[in-house]
Amino acid sequence: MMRLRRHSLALVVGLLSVAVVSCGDDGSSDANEGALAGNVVVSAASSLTDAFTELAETFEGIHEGVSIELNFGSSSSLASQIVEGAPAGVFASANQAQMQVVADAGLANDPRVFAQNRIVVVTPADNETVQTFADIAADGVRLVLAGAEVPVGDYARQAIAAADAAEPGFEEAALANLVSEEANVRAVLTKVELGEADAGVVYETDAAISGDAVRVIPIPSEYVSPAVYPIATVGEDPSEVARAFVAYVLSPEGQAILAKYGFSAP
Amino acid sequence: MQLRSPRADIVALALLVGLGGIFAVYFILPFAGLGERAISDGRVWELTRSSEVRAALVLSLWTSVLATLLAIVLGTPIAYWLSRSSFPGRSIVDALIDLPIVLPPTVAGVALLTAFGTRGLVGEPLDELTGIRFTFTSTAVVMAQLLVAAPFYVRAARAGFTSVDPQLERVAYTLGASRVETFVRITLPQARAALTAGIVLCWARAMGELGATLIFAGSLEGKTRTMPLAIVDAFERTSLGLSGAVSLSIILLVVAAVVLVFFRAVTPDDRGSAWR
Repeated sequence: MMRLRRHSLALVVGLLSVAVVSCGDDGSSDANEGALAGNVVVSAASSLTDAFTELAETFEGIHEGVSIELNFGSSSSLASQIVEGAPAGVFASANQAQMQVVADAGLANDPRVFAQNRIVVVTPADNETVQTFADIAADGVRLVLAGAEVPVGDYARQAIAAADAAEPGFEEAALANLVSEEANVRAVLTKVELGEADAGVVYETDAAISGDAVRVIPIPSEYVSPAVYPIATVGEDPSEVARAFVAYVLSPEGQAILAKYGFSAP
Repeated sequence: MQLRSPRADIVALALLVGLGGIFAVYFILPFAGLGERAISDGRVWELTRSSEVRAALVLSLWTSVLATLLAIVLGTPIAYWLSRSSFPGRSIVDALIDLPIVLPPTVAGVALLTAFGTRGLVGEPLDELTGIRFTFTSTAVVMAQLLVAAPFYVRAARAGFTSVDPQLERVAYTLGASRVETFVRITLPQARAALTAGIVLCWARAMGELGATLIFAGSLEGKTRTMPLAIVDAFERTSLGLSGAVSLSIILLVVAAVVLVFFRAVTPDDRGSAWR
């Protein structure tokens, strides 16, 4: 027993020294970038999948010792994970409400809006059922939305409610057409791309990714307010890498990448 | 001379207590966590009585029972045939039946879409001819459950039938019993424990089905949102915190536990042939 303990102590000491040495190595090999090293988990809204994948790659290209782990999902499930203690360093939400959930838990540091987006209706390219926004309330249309607390689902319901104010009965008719509430914006898009649904509400940026598979129908501007994306470091003591990544997303270089994927500047 | 040395006994005991203890703690802790949260979070009990929870539970119960019945009706002949015949390529048929057990359920969901989706192999002509669509319906929920859960029943039933001595069946034939009569009166009772185990496993798997349902059936309250999907949905709803997901999980656990205990109680000599 005694011997065992001494062995494990030696093992722990050995591992620690290896870790210390390798950390030191990483830092010194990256001298010209102020020794930025380490890894950070970035939890980002599903709609940011493509833009953040590129942002992470270019950021890792600039800082050699840095590794970014991307975790995509609906902002609401990411917020739930963070509040329950998931080890995220950065949170990028698709609306203010879910950032507020994290902020209310005392975990978001100084959230800043870094991008804007718009919701649109998408319909399968070969499907003629839906021609205008008003058609989503037509009889027999199979409508797919994201869940009510998923940002894109929330924005969609807001637009439907606004249309209802102009044309009473619209909301009831549209929601009666609802055949599924999906977990995130990409799941909504997939259901439309596959032709399972006649219409879905996604962001303009997601619709652009799907190319010819879907047809985009704009929602009248009086019914929609822009979707805003806040970003923040997470936790009481955010790492240097987490702060640098947030700064990079807000920098002109980061903004250029976001613009490439169709996001507009805040 | 002693048959077993005391030293070996101590090692065995240490292994049992040590490894068994780690195993037990690992399996108990998550449930303890759920229980602790349920007790400390006042909203959990209130949420268990909500109409959404009731809708999900009712849907889960009837779809999983229907899927299990279908697995029994459609799977029993195959299981019996596999236990009594040998032919080249039998192992391939065996593997095909086991395939959904190994595959991630999401793959099963995608596969179902390619076959029965609106643009699927069967789904497209069926839609054009009759206007019938499976996607987003409760039927799709049952189909997803059947695909991922039925293999558990077929496996257990095949093993059960294999353990029945064919000699008994031959005796019944010589006494003038028909094939069906023999199967019902001799083979089925002999394989009862294994069949019960298979039914429970199949039902449990159907009840817990998530990935295939989410992809093939979607998620809508009262129609396709079974308990596991409702748990995912509740987790998304930050306004509920974890309370919604915890209350649904507790209900699912209690229902599953009641069913498992019930089947354990009615299954004869389950230490032997069943639960293999």
